[in-house]
Amino acid sequence: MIQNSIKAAIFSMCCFFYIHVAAQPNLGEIHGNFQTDVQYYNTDTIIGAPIVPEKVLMNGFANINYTRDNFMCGVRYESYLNALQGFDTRYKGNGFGFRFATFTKDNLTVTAGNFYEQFGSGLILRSFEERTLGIDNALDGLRLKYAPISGIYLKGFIAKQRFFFGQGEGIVRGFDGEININELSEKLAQAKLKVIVGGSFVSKYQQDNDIVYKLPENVGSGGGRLKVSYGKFTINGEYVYKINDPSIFNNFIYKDGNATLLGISYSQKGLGINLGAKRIDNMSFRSDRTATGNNLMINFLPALTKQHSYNLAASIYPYASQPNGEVSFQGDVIYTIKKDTWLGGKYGTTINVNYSEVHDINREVVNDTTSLLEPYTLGYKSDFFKIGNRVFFKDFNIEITRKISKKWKTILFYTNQVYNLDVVQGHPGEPMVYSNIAVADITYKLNASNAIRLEVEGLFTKQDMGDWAALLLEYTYAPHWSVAVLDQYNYGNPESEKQIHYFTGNITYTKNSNRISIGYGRQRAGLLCIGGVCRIVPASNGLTLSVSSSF
Amino acid sequence: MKKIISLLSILVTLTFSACDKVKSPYNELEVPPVDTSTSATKVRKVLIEDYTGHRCPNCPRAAEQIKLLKQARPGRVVAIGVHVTNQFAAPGSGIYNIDFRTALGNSLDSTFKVSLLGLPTGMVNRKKVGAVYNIPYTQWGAYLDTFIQKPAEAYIKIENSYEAATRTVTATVTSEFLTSLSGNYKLSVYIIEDSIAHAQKDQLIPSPSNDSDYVHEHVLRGSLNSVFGEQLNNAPVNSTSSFTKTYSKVLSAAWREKKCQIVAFIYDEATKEVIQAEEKEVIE
Repeated sequence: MIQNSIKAAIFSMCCFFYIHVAAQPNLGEIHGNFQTDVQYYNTDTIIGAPIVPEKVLMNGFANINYTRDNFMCGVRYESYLNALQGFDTRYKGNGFGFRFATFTKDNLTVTAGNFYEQFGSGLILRSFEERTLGIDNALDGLRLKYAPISGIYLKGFIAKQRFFFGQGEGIVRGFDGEININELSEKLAQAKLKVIVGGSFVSKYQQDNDIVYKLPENVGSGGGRLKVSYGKFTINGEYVYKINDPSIFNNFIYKDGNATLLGISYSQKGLGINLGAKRIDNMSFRSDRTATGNNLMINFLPALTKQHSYNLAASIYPYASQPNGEVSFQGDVIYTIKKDTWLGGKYGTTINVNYSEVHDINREVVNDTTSLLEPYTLGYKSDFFKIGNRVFFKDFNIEITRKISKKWKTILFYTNQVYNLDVVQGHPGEPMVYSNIAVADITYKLNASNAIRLEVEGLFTKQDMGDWAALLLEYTYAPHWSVAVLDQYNYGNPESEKQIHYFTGNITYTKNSNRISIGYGRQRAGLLCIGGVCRIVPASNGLTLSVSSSF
Repeated sequence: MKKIISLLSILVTLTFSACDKVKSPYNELEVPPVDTSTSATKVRKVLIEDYTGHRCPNCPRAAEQIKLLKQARPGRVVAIGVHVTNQFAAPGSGIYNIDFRTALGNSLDSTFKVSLLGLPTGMVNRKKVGAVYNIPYTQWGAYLDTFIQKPAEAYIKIENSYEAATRTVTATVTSEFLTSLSGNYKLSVYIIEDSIAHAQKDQLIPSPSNDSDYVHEHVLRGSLNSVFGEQLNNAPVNSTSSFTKTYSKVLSAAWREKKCQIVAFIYDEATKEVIQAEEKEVIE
C-alpha cells in the first residue's frame, strides 16, 4: 500500500508540475468529486445485527482530475476507516486506489496507470466501478486506442486488476476491433441500414502452483458482435467463447465456456418493444482462479430481467446472474395511450408490461463414472438448444403510469415472481418462493416547490419469510430539501419473533453539487443487486451520514 | 483494409495458439516414495486448519483437498477441521441436529477472522498473507510446498496414555528446537476426532443437497492447554533447547477415544506462524 501511495503521489506531482511549467494562458482545468458515507452502529440483537467494535465506520473517496488539451491525469484517494458493514474488510485504511495519465496524438490514445474498459456488451471484458456493491476491478497497466481511419476503432491493453489496495495475481491481455460501416464514407453515412461489427480477444495468465492438478496458465476467450439497425428495428447479438478455466467458482471443472446475447427492438412514438435472449454456460472469468465474491471479475454477465426500483420488489427477492449457467428470455413492451382520449386521460397513460424467465442450462453427465459438476473433470455436457428443467426466476410485471391532474400523479405496479432461493441465494434445500407484489405510488404536488409522495407496497407469499408490507412517505421542498420515512414490516413471518418493523428516516439537503443526507433506522439483512451482480448486506441499526460534492 | 484484416487474423491466430488447453488426465499427482529415513530426520510438518460447517455446501471440496494433499505429501500434513458460523455450522432441523462448533473454534475464528470471507477457507501454518490469515483451499497445496521445502526448526514428540475408567488422556509433549531462534515460542495442544459419520450439505448432490453418508474427519473437539497454549521459552533457544510438558483432559462421553488424536504445534508468539506440528492417536 505504501508503494502504491508513493506512486500516486509522484503521479500527482507530475500533474501539478505540468501545470506549473505550462503556466501560460491555457492552464488546463481541474475537476473532482467527493463522497463519504459514515455510519454509527447500534446493537440490535432482534434483527441479528453484528456487533461493530469500532461503533463508527466510514467509506470515502475523492477524485481529482486535471485536463489540458489532449492530456489528462488524475488520482482517486480512498479511505476506509474501517469499511462499512457489508463491504469486504480487505478495503482497509487509506490509499490511492486509482491513478492514471492519458493523452491523444494523431488518433492514438495512450493510457498509463489505471483505466476502465469494456469490449462489446461486457460478456468478454468489463472493467468497472460500482461503489454500492464494493466492486472496483480497475485495470492497471498500459492501454492503446487507435482509430486508423474514421469508422475503425482498435483497442489493446496489458494490465493487472485492482484487488483492494493491491493487485490480483493474474495478468490480463485484451484486444478489440470494431468497424462502424456507416462511418467509413459519407455515402454510407446516409444509408438507412446501419451496421456495426466487432471482435475481441481477452486472455489471462496465472501461474499453476497446484501440486495435485494440471491447471491452464493461459486462458483465452474470443468473441464477435454485430448490431444492425434498419428504420425502427434494431437487432444486436454477441457470442463469446472461453477455453478451459477451472476455478473455485465453477468447482474446478475443465469444460470450455460460452455466452450468447441476442436482442431485437422496435421503437416508434408511443411504442417500444424489446425482446431479448441470453445463454450463459460456464462463463465466470476472473484473473485469479481462487477469487471469490465480486473480486477480480474480467467479464460482466448482465441479468436479462427487469431491474426493479420499488422497495420490496428490489430488495427481498432480487435476481442475480448465474455465471455457471443460465438461459433467459425477456419481453418488454411500453405503450403510451394518447392524451385527451377516454383511456389515456388528459395527459396520456403509459403502460409497461414485462416478462422474463430464467432457467438452468441443460446439463448431462460426461460419462457413467463422473457425477455432474464433479471437480477436476469436464463437469458436464450441455446441448446449446435445450433448456434445463430447473427454474431460477420468473417475473411477470405491469406498471401503469398516469398523471391525473396538474397536482396528482399515480403509478400502479404489480409483479408475480417465482424465485429459486436455493440457487440465487445459495440456500440448498429451501423451497421455491412464489410471490405477488402490489405497489401504489401516488404523488401530490402542493405547488411548484412542494410535493408529497406516498408508496404503499405489499408482498404476499406463503414461503420463506411470508408476507411483507412497506410504506414510504416522502416530502420534497424543491430544490433543497427532501424528507422521507420508510417502514418495511415482515408481518407474515411464520416465526412471530421475526415479525419485525424495519423503520428508517432520512433527511437530504442539496445545494448545487453539494448533497448532505442523514438517516436513522434499521437495515434488513439481505442481498443488494445492481445489474444482476449482488453483494450480501448484513443487518444493521444506526445513524448514517452521507456527503457528496463535485467541482 | 486488407492489411488491417490480415493483421487481425495474425493476431487472433497467435493469441489463441498461446492458450493452454489441458487434456485429461488432469491429475498430476506424483506420490513420492515414503522415505523412512526422512521421517527420522525430523522434517517440517505443516498445520492446515480447515474452517468448515456441516451445512456449508462447498465445504466438502476443502476436505477433499486435504485428503489429496495428505496423499501427495505423506506425513507432512497435520489437519484440523474447525466448524464455525451460525450460518453454516449451527444445528439445523432434521439430519443436521448436531453442533460441531466449540468455544475453542469460535475463539480462533474471532481472533483470526477466518470465516468473515465465507466458507470454506482456512489457514496454513497460520501464515498471514497480506492483511489476512485466510488462504483459499485451492492454494493450500502451494503454501504447503513452500513450507516443507524449508528445514525443520523444531521437532515435536507426543506420547499419550489413556485411562479408560476416567476417560482421561494424558499427553506428554516434548518440544525440541533444532536451530537457534530468538523469538518467543508457544505450544498449543488440541484434541481432534476422526471418522464421524454425519450429514453434510454438498453442492454436488442435487437439491436438497444432503449427503447423509458423509464422514467428517479431524473435527476439532477442544484444547488441552487453552486457546493459545503455553509459552515454551523466556530466552533465545538453540539446538540444545528442549521442553517437556504434560497435559491431561477428560474426554467427553460423545467422543470415541479410538478415533481421537492429540495435535500439538509450536508457533511464534509475535507472528502467530506455526513452525512445527505433530499428531498422535490417543490410543495407539
